[in-house]
Amino acid sequence: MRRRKIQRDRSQYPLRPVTEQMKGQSHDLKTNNLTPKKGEATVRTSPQCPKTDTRNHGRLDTIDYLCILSIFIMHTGSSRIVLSQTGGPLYQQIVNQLKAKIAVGEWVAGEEIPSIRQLAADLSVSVITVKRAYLELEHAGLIVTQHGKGSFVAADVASGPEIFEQELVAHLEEAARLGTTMGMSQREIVSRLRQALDETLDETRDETEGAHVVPKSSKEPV
Amino acid sequence: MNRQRMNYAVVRQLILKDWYLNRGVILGSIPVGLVALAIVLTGKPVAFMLCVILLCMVIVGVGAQLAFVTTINERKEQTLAFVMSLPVSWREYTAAKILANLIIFLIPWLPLTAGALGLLLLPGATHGLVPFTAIMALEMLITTSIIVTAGIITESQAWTTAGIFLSSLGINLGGYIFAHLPGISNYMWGTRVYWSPTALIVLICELLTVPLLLGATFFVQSRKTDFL
Amino acid sequence: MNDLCIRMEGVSKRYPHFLLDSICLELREGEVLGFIGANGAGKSTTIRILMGLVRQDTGSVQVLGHPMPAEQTAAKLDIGFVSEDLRLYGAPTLAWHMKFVASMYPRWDQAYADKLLQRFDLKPQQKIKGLSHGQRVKAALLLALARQPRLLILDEPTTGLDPVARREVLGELMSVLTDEGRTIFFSSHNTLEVEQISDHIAFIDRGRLIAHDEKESLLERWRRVRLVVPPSTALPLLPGIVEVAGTERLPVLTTSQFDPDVVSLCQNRGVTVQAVDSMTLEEIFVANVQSRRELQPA
Repeated sequence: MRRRKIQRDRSQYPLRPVTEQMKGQSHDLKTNNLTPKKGEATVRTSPQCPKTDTRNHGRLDTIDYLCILSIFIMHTGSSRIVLSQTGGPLYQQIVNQLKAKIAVGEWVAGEEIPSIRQLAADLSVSVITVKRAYLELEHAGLIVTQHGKGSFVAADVASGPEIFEQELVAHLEEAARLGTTMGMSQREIVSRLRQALDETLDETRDETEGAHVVPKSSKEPV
Repeated sequence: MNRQRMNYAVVRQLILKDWYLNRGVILGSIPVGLVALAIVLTGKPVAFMLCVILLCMVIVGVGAQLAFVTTINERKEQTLAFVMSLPVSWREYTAAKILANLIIFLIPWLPLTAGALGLLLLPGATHGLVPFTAIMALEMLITTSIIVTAGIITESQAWTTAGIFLSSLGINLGGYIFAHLPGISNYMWGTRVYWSPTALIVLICELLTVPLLLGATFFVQSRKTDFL
Repeated sequence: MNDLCIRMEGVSKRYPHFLLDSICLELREGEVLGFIGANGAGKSTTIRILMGLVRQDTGSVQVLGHPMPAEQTAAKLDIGFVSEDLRLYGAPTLAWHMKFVASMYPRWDQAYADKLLQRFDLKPQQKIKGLSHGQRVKAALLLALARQPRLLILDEPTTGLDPVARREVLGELMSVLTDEGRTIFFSSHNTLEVEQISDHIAFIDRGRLIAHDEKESLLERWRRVRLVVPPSTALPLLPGIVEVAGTERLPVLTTSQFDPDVVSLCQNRGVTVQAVDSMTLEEIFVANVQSRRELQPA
């Protein structure tokens, strides 16, 4: 089957799924309209809505991008941190995102980071929550706060993925403890870890190829 | 409550605010009143009755409307909270309300009363009616003061409406009584302006009632603990 | 340490059918206090007492160092007040309101007011009666913010706003806080936003203050613990249990004094801890209120 332009572009614009209606049509780049294939009926319209606008099915044009960009800038302020309502405790989200920034190298050792008040105002979060996040980062040795001067990334911070070393170790130990409590043998625990790795790899592969993700059936414990 | 200096600038702003909000009604009533007065000039006896009735309606109506809107409506429409969120104390608010109603009411009252008295002093008119008319005009000033007092003190639409009703009745009653007082009735239909002692006493009493009412309002308000 | 912006001590007020009983509240400069309570719990009364609009029967109220209601005029010069039962005049325009308020506040910042007009998408020449509810709320907030108040007292500032407008308003309020001298006292039914922006939380129910704590510590000590209890094992006595729900074998405990040691305590008794869930502010509030009401039925 010939690859339709719309389907190929879906990985770039994953916001709207391709509908059955669109599959029979080709995308006219000049007018940005969907034109019906030869011999097929024009786009179906309902009696209440005589003329549906079929422009830009699934595609985002420049205006959309500019809107999204401006909303993005407006709502995250200068710190570009994004909080979510369902992402868990707010202070934890802040800790994780600041850690990621340092790990990735967006903030380098010794660089000044937004003050507690400034970040609180940017994110519309209480000062006390940001303070808690900063304290935790300070305990982990990732940042230093100098009274009156501001907050900085620690000079000796290990950049890159080593930041998550502590977290990884804690998670692995917790998994080991839980497995042992459940009465699993070491081999069983290791095979469950492999299963989890496989699932993570599958998800990453699916995302890059853009194919439909098949929901996995629940796995039986080995 | 702490005796603090009254901030007259704030009082002035509040009075100007009430003027701005009610200027339409006030300014509109003056031409209507003048038309009523002009009717008399047609010379017909019916016109005289019509003029009197219309004039009374206009003046009393304007006064009642002004007093009602500035006191009860402000509370009903919850703009009172807005005003009280500004740096205004209750003394300043009450003073501003009283003064605003007085001053703004005078804006139509003075020209219309002067017009009526002027008409009566025209050659050929019944000059004797001047004291009676002056007394009745002051009655209307008192009526408005009563409604303002009711509105501020009772904070209740029902009571204030009752106040409007009763004071309108009062005007009629007062008019009847004054017209039949010997000191006034003897000279009413005469051709000269005569201020009999009776008429003067009534006039002075009326002039004193207004500040008394308004002072009492101020006093009662200062005793309250809840203003919203 | 910062000065106390608000200080209420033993404040009581009696109405024919309601008693506000011994309220003690404190708020330091530069902080945000979220005030949560059911309808009729006494939120509005407390706020009116703070504004000096209602005189308390007993107790002392100090706002920005001024005893209320005696020095309310001086206090109100530094306060921006918005309430859900506060309305602007319908007939005049927003521009008239701005001029009116500006005439009373020497610190009115017209440049900032213009910026807010743009940010809130309001047209000054529009009459207030022509504005939608959300626009009116934003207009009232503009008038409160442009006077550069040291203290913002807000009674349900975002009630009735659509989510986008709510975000705009919250963002603006929070940006005000970059100045350390600004304080916010607000009450809201929207527990999500209270949870997000408050430093301190106070719960009020039936005229009494039932909690007054730092937000983070409140969120930290309340937990829902899900247990698996083997048959013929007693439920361990955990501290601060407020509610026991679920079934005998699978109880769900709500505790107000959670400690990580609790987990090991349970396991030592043979009780499996299936999960320890943190609770949203709303869940904490409801659990708190319900447990109190059970102890003291009306």
